[in-house]
Formats: sequence, C-alpha cells, structure tokens
Amino acid sequence: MTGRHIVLALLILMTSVAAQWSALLSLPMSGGTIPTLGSVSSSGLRLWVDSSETATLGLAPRVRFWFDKSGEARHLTALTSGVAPYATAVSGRAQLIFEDNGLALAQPIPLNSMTAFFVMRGGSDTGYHPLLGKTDRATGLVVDAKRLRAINGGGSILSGIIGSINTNAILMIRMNSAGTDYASINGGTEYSFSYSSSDSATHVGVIYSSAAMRYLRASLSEVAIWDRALTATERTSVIRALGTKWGITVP
Amino acid sequence: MLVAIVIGAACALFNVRLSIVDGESMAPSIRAGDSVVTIGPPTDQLKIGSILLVRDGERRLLHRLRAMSGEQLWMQGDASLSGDSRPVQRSDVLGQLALVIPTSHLFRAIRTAASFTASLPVSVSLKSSGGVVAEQGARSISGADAQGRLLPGGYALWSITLSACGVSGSRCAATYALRIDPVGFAALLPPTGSVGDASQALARALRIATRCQGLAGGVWTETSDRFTAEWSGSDQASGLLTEQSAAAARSGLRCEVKVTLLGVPAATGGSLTLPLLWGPT
Repeated sequence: MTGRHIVLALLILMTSVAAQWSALLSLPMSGGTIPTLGSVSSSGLRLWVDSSETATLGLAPRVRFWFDKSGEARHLTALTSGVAPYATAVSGRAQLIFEDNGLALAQPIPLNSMTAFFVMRGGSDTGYHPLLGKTDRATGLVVDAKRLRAINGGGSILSGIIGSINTNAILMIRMNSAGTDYASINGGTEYSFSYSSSDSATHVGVIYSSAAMRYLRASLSEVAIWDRALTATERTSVIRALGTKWGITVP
Repeated sequence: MLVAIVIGAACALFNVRLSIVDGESMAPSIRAGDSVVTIGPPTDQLKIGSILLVRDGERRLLHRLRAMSGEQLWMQGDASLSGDSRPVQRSDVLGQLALVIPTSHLFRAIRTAASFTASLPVSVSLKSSGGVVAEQGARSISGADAQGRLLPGGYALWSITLSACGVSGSRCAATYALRIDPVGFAALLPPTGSVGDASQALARALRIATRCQGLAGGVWTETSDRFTAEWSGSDQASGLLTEQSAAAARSGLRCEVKVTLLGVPAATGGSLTLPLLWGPT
C-alpha cells in the first residue's frame, strides 16, 4: 500500500465520520420583557451588573464572569493574577466581596460623560476604594476617606465629604462632559467637583497607582452606568428602586 | 359506509389503535386528554427512546423506552426524573406511537377556560442516517409569561436522548460531542461592534448548563456551564456542552440542557432557535 492509498483511506474515513452529524435539534424560545431600574429608559445604559441575579455569575468557585445585563456586552471577567472576588450574601443581601483583585471590562467606559450608581459597602471609611480605573495608567474614580477622588494621569481632585460607605450605600456619580461633576450617597446632598478626562475605564475595582495596582476592598452588589446625564427625576427613580431593592433608606 | 369499512379494515390489518391519554406522565409532549394513534406491535428491533404503548398488568402505559435487557423493557415517562419501578416484557408491547392529536387543548379549554399553561408541547424526534441519534424529549419552563415566553431569570429545561455507534456496520469515532452548532449560532449573532436587534441580543444573553447520565440511570454528571456571551466561533471549547466516549455514546445518554435567560433590555420581543449538534468530534 502506497502513501497515496493511506491518505485516500484516511480521507474516506474522515468523510464517513463527518457525515454522521445528526440533524439540528431545534430548541425554540423567546425573550420576555425586562424591567429596567426605576422604569428609567435603558437608552444609553452601558453597564448593568446585578449580584442578586445569581444566574449572571459564573463561579469556579470564585467569580470568573459577571454578565452585563445592559445589552452592551461589557461583561466582567476576573484577572488572571490575584484572588478573584467571591459571591456571597450577608443578611440575605447578595454581594461580591473584593479582596485583592479587580474585574476587567470587556469594553472600556468613557469617564467624561456618565451617570453611575454603585451599591457597595466598604470595609473601612479610611480605605482607598477604586471603583473604575485603568491598570496601565493612574486614571479612574476612587472613594477615598468619605470623598470621591477623580484621577486623570496621576493628577486627582477630591469632592466634598459625601458620607460613609461602612454600611450598604448607594453611591451616585455624575460626570458631565462640559460642566460641574457631582457625587452623593443614598440620594443625599450632591457634592460638586470638576474633573476632565478624555480617557476610559477598563476595569472595575482596580486602579494603577505609583507603579503598583490598588484594589477595592469592599463589596459590590449592583452597578449601573448610563453614558448620558440622567434627569433629576430619573436619578431619583433609580435611587429609590435601588433603595427598595437593597433595603437602603433613601429620600 | 364504504369509507368506514375500508378504514376499519386498514386499522385491523395494521393494528392501528386510537387511545385517549389519561395522566400527565408524558407531559409536556403528550398531555392528559390528547388522542394518540399507535401502530403495532413493531416487528423489527425496538429503538431506545421510542414511545411505546405497553400492557402493564390491568392498565396500559404510553411511555418512552429507556433501556432493554433481553426480553425486559424498562420504560419511563418524560415528566419523571426516574424510570418506571418495574420492567415490562417484550410481548407486552401493543404498539408504537405514530401520531399525537392535541385534543387536550380542547379538554383543558372546556375544563378551565380562563387558565393558561407555561409549558409548550414540543417533542421532536430527529435521527441521522449514519447511526447518530439525537432525540428531543420533555421540556419544562420555569419563569415564563402567559405566552410561554421566558422572562429574565427564567429557564427552560430540555431532556435529550443521545446515542451513536448503535447501528451495525457504522463507523465509530473516538469521541462524540453535543455542542452549539458554530455555523448556525454565528448566523444568529450581530455583526462585530453592533448590539444588533432583539433576537441577536437574546442569543448573547443565555446561560446553558448541561448534565448527563447513562440511559440505564446512575449518577448525573455536570458536563458544562456556558454563557453564550463568551461563545467564540474560533474557540471550539466555548460551544462544547458535553463530550462523551464512543463506549458511552454506544450505551446511550440522557442529557438535560438547561437554558437560562439572563435578561437584556434590548432582547425584549426577540426570539431564536438555539442550534445544537450531536456528532463525532
């Protein structure tokens, strides 16, 4: 038997096996409606991760993947180094505990124009809590000793004292592309600051700082980010919806 | 009159039997009140996964053939997670299911005109000509609206019977796999960089968990847990639901595929058919 015969025999064998595929199994399904936060329009919604929907969390056993419900496919994945966050519930309240790692966004989020809501709880108010950031440049948003610190290329600016995150809190951040920026906790007083950056965040819970990474040491229950300025009515609707959902007292 | 005589003669000749189903053991594919036509008893080899009308003491059962051991047949209702407690004999087979007439809809409409069910009657048998068999069985839905549409967080669970290498003379591959069909699924996705329409958003918003056991029973093995958001046409592993040896495929498998809708606002009103393939790797 020549080599050509062997090749021909192998080809016949492979063709024969390939022909054994079954016909398609048709599994029909359809999607129902999904209620948005506070019935606020999902137009401009760029990220929405929710730990209360446990099916959106891929665990192995720590968090490997966090599905983005916004429809923009900014799914979060654990970094290969460090200790991945883990999912748990405290007093029935679902949350992801961040210890020594962050999560990478599948697509970056511009920092210069957004309305963001974080349902979080810090281990300590004196800690440094990166929320959104980059891992190759000191740029992002950090809760730092009861203030919001907005950083761009190492230079930073602080808001006024917005309040404690030692208990479960709703942190709202408004970044206006051409105007004053604001931050508040639990729908309370909005404290202004002025920040400008044309950069985008690539990670949640980590920021590059002084030749090293600094990580969030806190829990996140839910994050929702729009790339537009929500109206006052819309912001109140979202905060009330989050307050009701997570048992947080809001105005 | 002549027509009736001809039909009657044909029914007698081919042992055609019309029965009304009483019970939900084959739900949701066959519901109480459905009419079924059986033909038989079959003269050739019985096939695992086929639905048979059998005599079980004083009663008659319409159940799926789960396993055979000599003359003993082990049956199972689609709605049951375990098989019937005792076997029936080959000689107890009265016929094989040929047709389901969904008269249960009328039955239920008369009984409870105002109610609805989230379960949809879907049961399709598919078989290749090359010795690979994939048969879709019972489906159940949890978290659906009145139209049977999945709501975010809801799931649909399909039971699928898989086998291969069962036909004499057919070649067997070393391993077989149940996977998301790469060609069919790629066609459901939006273009790169685009969110797409509702159906395309739906395709990326599913979580598919699969577990399998042998047809004879035994331990369920979790074989995969996939997010279609992570699916990639260039990465075969991202679409693999289960991979089985030729020996396991020859014995036959029962797999449960659980599809959870994770929820995306853009998917509202979308619909799709998830394409799966069972075949050699």
